[in-house]
Amino acid sequence: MWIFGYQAVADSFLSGLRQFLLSYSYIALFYVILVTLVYYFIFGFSIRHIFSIKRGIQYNRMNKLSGSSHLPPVSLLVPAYNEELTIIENVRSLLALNYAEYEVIVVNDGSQDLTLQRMIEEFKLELIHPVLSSSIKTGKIRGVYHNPEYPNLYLVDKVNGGKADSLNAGINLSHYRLISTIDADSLLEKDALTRIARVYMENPEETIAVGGNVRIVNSCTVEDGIVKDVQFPRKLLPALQNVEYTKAFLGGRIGWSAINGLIIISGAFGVFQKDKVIDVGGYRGGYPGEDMNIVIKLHRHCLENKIPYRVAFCPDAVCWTQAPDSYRILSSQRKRWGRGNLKNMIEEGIHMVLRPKYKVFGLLTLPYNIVFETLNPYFRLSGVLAILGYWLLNMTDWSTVVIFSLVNLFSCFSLSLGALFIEETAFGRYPKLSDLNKMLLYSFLMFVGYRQIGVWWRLNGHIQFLRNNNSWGTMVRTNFNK
Amino acid sequence: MYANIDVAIQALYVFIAFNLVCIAFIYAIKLRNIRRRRQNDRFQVKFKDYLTYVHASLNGVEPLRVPPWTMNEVEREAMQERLNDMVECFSGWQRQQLIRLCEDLGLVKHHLERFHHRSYPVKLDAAYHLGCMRVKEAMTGLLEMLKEHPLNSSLFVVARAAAKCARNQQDLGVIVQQLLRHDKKCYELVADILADSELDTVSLYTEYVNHTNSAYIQIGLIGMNGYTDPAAASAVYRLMDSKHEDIQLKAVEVYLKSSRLLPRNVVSKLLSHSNLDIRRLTLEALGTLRNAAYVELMRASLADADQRVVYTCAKGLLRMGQEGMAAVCESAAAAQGTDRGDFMHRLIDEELKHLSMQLHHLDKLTQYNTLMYTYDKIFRKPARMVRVV
Repeated sequence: MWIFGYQAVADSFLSGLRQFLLSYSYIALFYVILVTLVYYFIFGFSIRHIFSIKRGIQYNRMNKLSGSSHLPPVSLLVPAYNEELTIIENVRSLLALNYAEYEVIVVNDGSQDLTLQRMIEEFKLELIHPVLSSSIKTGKIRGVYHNPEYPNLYLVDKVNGGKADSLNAGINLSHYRLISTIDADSLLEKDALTRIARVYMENPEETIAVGGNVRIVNSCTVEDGIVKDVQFPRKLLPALQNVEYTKAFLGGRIGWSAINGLIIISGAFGVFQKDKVIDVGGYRGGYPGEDMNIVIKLHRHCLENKIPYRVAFCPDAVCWTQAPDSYRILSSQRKRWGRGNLKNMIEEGIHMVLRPKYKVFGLLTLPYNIVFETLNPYFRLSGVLAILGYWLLNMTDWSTVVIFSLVNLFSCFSLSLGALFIEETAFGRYPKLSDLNKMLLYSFLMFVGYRQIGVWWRLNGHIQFLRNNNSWGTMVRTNFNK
Repeated sequence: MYANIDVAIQALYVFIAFNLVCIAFIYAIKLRNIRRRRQNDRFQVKFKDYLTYVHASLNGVEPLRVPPWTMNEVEREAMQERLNDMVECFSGWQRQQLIRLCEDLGLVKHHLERFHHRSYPVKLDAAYHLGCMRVKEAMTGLLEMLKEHPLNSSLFVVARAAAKCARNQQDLGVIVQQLLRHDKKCYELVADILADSELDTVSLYTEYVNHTNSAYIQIGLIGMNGYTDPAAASAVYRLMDSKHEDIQLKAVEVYLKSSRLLPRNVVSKLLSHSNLDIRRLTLEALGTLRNAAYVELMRASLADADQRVVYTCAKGLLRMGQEGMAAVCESAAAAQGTDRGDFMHRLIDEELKHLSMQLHHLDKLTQYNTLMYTYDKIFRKPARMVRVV
């Protein structure tokens, strides 16, 4: 009797579980189709716009424009924390930009290494007492250094307060209406600023921010802060990140900017209207993801105050950055990104999502970001568990799983191919045929382990967030020619 | 379930086929790019001597000769690019020689024909090249294209091409009108495009600053900023009282650049202007002029409510000889013990330190001695009476 009762309960449970898994499979299928369609929609916009972007690159004579007195002056803000290995090369590259009027403001964020000393010695800087604006509150400024022989270079030394605090300190010293944020481990191409300025000049009042394109410098030859010989990364992790960046920047951001729904401008290189950044209270400190946060705040500010605006992306303005080449550093970076994304969605996103007042940003960008980026690990993890359930309950066989996996793989791979199409059509930065072979290979390999582990890192980032871990994590710098 | 599997299998075939087509297409683009690059490299070698000849003969009276070979399409495009670069680099007779060479090579005719092509990319490409070659005959077509063109980056490409080909100021006026039609306040870009014209634009800008439309006024002021003509001062004087803050600021900028002798009443008015940027701009200009006649007027700005104005004023005065230095030291002494006094004191110390490190320059040495003398005299520190000779 007892056995009969137990079996009845077990059967009922298994039947319920089967029903649940079946329902889940339809939801998962709907999710996958929807995410793929949104991806295709955005990629379609990117490909549609790439031809006009290509014409812009082809028909604008950058050399001539670089010397024009009509270019808007820009303050370049370079936050630096323990950057002794790369800071000098980075600053030299910035001082050699082809641009009429700009200043470089390096902000030493209480580095524990010799960043400050190296800067002072290399450029023979002296302590000065300029007037600092108090537009945004920052950590204590220990001193500002300058050398009239480098009239457009300033060094701010402050107590450690994080990247956002450093950027805010730079804003308080900056003298121009446009500010540009640049990572200290990155190198700007000589005409990158001119290219961004061209986009800005076409609509200066409404263009509140313009993002640049970030490319991977690993394995490239760098001389005097200039990338001389472009090479596809030789190591596995930088190579995978290279194709990942290509897909995200060329496939995604061009499309998002075309519909004014860009949610992030990479902290590595972007230009902003200073007064708008001040209006939204500057960069939010105390947590990673400040580059996404500032863009969300700008969207919100302009939409709430009915200010016509656009957040643009300029794919031909290139900034070369070092990609992590070890598992430990890459995982740390991705966990930080995961934490930053979650924090931004909780802090800003949920107040704007699905509200018509926030237009494309509230109705498309944020739902996309929340469902397909922030919650992505949970869908993936539940998907793996569901497959396990189907197998244990004899609800599927291996051939079905393989077929659906292949459909998913090839549909995603075609998006990578779309990004490569954009790269080859408009930019062609990697000249050799072997580079294309490698890009194709790594675009495929990305789906075999790398993306799955990326989901795991993001999930770990969320766990860190719940544990109130808001540290920057591990980041080891190396020389550019490595 | 089986129906779903069948759909999935069909979808898989479709995706695989799509991916294969994409891969083939990408390789085709890559191979084409590589082939073009190689042909371009061959062009550089093959035409090296000819291009040297062109460079060497630009000043000659004789027209430049065309190369003694027929060119294939890639070579012609490469030649066009090289000539475009050279046309942009040179002006006057040399530019005329190059444009004539373009005509003799058949490039002008070729692009004029392409300009009437139905395909938009071909038409735009032709417009760009016609602009580079300053083909006046294309002007009517370019203006038509400009009038019909939607607002995007290519609009400015067409506008620039039209400005390069402009025959007279009316043409430039039409270009400006068409660009302003979109109301995007791209005044700096418009001025930059007009600067590419071969025509004299001063009278156009003068006309614009007297316009009733603020957009034209802004373009006029931006254009005039490049000129240091005293006549500009009278043209923009009225605009310094404009109700638009942007126009006010730009007008003051042009005014201050236009003359080395600024009337005291105007300077006084600008130094007491409610706009902080105008006060700073005026002080910067006075500091650059280094005319001791303005020291007394500037002295009042050392008591300005905004510290940035005080900073600019003190920096300017410290460069204006003994009278300027004395003004800063006296103000610092008078405000001793206050934040303002300490701030000015720091600026003086900073300047002394900076000058003391450049004593190998005679000018700096003189400045150092003067400032040191004034400093010691005012702050009564005889122990520091040191001269460097």
